[in-house]
Amino acid sequence: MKLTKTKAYKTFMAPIKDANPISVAVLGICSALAVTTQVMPAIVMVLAMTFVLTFSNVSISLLRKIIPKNIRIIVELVVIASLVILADQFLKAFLFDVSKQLSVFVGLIITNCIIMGRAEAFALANGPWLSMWDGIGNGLGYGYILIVVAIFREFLGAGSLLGFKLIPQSFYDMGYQDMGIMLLAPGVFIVIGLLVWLENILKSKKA
Amino acid sequence: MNPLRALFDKLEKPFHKGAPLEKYYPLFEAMESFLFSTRLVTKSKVHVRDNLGTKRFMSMVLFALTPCALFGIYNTGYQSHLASGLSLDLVSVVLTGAQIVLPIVIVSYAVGLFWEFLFCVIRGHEVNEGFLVTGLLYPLILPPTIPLWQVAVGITFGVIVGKEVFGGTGRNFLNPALTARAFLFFTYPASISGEVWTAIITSKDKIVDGFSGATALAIAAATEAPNNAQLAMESAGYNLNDLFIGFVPGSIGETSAALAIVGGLFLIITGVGSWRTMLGGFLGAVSMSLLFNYFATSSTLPFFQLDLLWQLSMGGFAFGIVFMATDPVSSPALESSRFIYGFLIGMLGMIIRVINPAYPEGWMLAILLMNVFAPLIDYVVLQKRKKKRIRNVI
Amino acid sequence: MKKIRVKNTYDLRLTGVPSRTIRESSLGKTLSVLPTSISLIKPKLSVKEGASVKTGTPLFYDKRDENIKFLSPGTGTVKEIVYGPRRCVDEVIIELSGKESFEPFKKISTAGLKKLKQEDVASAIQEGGLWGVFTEHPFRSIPRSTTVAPAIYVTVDNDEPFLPQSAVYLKDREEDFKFGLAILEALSDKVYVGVSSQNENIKTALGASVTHELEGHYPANNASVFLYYNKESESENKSWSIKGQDVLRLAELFKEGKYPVQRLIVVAGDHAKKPSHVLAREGMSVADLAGKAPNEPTRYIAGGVLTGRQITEKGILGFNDYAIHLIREGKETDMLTFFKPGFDKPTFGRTYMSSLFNSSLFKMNTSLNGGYRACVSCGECPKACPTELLPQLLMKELKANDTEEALDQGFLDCAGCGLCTYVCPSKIDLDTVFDDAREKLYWEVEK
Ligand code: SF4
Repeated sequence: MKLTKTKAYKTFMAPIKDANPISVAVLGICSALAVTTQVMPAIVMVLAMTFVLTFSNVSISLLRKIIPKNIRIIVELVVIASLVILADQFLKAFLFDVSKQLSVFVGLIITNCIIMGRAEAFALANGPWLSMWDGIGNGLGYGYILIVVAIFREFLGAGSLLGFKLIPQSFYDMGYQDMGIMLLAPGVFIVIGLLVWLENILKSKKA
Repeated sequence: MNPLRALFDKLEKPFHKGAPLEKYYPLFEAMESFLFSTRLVTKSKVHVRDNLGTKRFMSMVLFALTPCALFGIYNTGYQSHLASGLSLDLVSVVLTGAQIVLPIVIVSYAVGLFWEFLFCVIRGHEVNEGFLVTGLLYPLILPPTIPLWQVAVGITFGVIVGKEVFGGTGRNFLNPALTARAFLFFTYPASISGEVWTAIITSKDKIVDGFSGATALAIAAATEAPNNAQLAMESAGYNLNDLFIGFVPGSIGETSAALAIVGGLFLIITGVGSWRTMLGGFLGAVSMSLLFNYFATSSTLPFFQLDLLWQLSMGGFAFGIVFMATDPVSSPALESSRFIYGFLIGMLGMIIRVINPAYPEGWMLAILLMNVFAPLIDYVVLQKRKKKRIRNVI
Repeated sequence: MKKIRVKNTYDLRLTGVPSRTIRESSLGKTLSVLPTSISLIKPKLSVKEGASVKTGTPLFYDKRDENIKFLSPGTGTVKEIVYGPRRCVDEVIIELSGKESFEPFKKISTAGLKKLKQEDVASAIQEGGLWGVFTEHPFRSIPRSTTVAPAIYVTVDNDEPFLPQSAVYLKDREEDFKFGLAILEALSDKVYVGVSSQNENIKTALGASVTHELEGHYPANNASVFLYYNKESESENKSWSIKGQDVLRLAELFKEGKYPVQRLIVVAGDHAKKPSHVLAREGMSVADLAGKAPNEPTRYIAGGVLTGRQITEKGILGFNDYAIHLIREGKETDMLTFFKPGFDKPTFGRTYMSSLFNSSLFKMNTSLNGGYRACVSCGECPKACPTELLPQLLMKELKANDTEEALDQGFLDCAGCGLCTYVCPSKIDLDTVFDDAREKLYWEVEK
């Protein structure tokens, strides 16, 4: 069978293309607001998020037959919380600067609606293999929007990417100024709004 | 036949359906309908139509804006010469003013029209005249010191996000000119929320001694507690007369309350601007400012005590209420809600101006905020209206 | 006599006013009947091609109600039946024979009328083919033959440019008119007669029969507007209305016992040779009635210029048409109009100087005077709405398929006068939106 025809591939691509958690379902906006002023923390956040999402999906999928229905949310929370603590500790140990920038937002992955949503909507009903791909797919679908937004924000708001100054000093001398609004929360709404617009145009063109 | 007409008839060919330039028909249509009255005829059962078209409607606003724009040019030059101690005779002042203001206007129109045409060509509809107004309103609410590239960025944002995302003029819910300015305000705070708004074109060392250039609002907002805001302004060289007529630094076209009133009267007489919005705005501002006076004590901000007349003549109040708040698209649809809408703008604007020292002027934010609430006001008023009718449903 | 002051009316002051003289017209070889020009019925033919018909022989009826009949306006043979798409009957052409003979109906005198019950009067009118002159609100359909009207509104005057003037059609016929009103009174408990407040002569001539004075320009004398201002409860929403001239025709039917084919129409507009009143009958063609138009682009309209149907130079006078207009199609383009003061530009608002300094008549033409744009919420249309609706909101709701909300705001009160469309600077065809929505609603209710 061709790769693109497999179920796993479809599960993986769906959240990236048609069911993007941010631009279509508009979930997880809170963290998108907070961590996208620069690209670096955004990338780290995406990795942490994908990690938690994938493993929570897999473990919950493995446990799905033995979790009693009425306490499943608590069980899911326990799983997610342990994974988040793991991720947080890891960042603190090896990437202290970035973890400081991300501050509470790594911890707040627990409350990110995407994770809970995927666990409830997908992992509880599918096997671990598919759940893994769903987790990775959603993590990346969330991630690419986050990174695109972060690129816009960092470039327009601070004139740099990943911390490297891209706009030369001579521009500033000639009167160029950074867009202050990009570093404020409204900047995210504008950028995400425009992205959604673009995506809708592309989709309607295809249809 | 008029030779120009003949020329256009010839030019039209390649723009017809199926011809190579079909896509660019909106461009041609815009040019043609700008020069000539339309050749379209009615299709529905209403076979004759009123002579008022959107072009006429919008050009009425342009007429009303002209005095403010001309005075803006003069005043910009005047302030500039005053600051650098140059001669104050009319011709040279106007020349300097034009040198500063016209590029801003031209950039605003050129960049704005570019986007407007682009969207029209992509979407295949005709160019809407609304932009003619936006393109002039927007430069008039900018400080003369604004860099031109920022003008372009601002109007781009205003046209795209303030209007085209929602489908173009008529479907937007925010005033595009104000959206553009608000974007600049938050994006480049250094250029637009600054306190010194006098464009100086000679070299800096020529500036006369004692020139501070701070706007009246900035002084009033910065006055510390035991002092009196009015005295502070007077000692900085402002007086009520100048504030009212407009011989003060400020945004290009908004300094003159007197000419804004002239424009407002024109709009009211022609029926293009809603008198209810204007009256509401006026009453709102008056009542809020009196309220501030009433509650003013020695421990409140000195801005509280400022006399009503000063409050009304300063800054962009008159211009905002007359030209910005009355934009029909972003106002509520019902005439009766327009009064409430205006009133709330008046109150809110005054509150922002007086109480929040971070924002030197309140009208832009007040009007944008009320733009957002306009449908809500409409909804409430509409519910009341429905109750008055004898129901007629099936 | 009560006085009703109609808010939001407008005097269009157009040229091409018909004079008060009455011109006779001569019949051509054929007459045509247009079932599709009657809205909200499902026509079904009762004659075949080749059948010979007398004046007053039923030609077709409403499939849903056999008593709603439409009669032949002339004597002769059915020459051709023209079918449109989906086999609806577009046109029934009757070849006239020389001598006219009438289908006989029962004659009813004033005294006889008193003895008749409501159903009898109704069926006499249905037999006589005049049931279609009644309009049932709010859909402005023809009422079912068994319904009893909560009230009947009679509008004597017409203020739309241009329709027959009461001063012309009512001249010397006041007694007939009063008899007609007596017929209406036999149909419904409440009969309201509205006369324009400027029309002193008719007011005195009709005396006590007039119940309401209607004050205002167009469309103060529109029946829907009259109903809107006069109704006191929801039950009156379904009132009926009838035009003054049709009251006369009812009287004629009862008195003479034959189908009243003659009616007064106006032929008006700048391109009509001599705009005047014309004695005509249903089914005549424009060529018979108005002659040739000058060699310029001309629009032909059956009905008033704000509510009429567009027809061609071969068009036919329909069952409900009381006017033929010939007006100029489009206009000369002129330069930079919107920067000129515009002393010669009639307008509803005050954006041209004409509103201040010009009181003469304006040349009428079919120019759109602007381009199609989205609604800019300019607020002109509510100022022009005689029934105090908010056309711009209704239009947006109907386009968004939110019919509930539109109904809630009183959409069915809309009189269809067309003033909102006339004034709209964005040239939105509000009337089409409203007509379509009303028709759709009607068929939903009727199934
Ligand atoms: S007149 Fe036309 S543009 Fe004005 S509010 Fe009504 S529909 Fe909108």
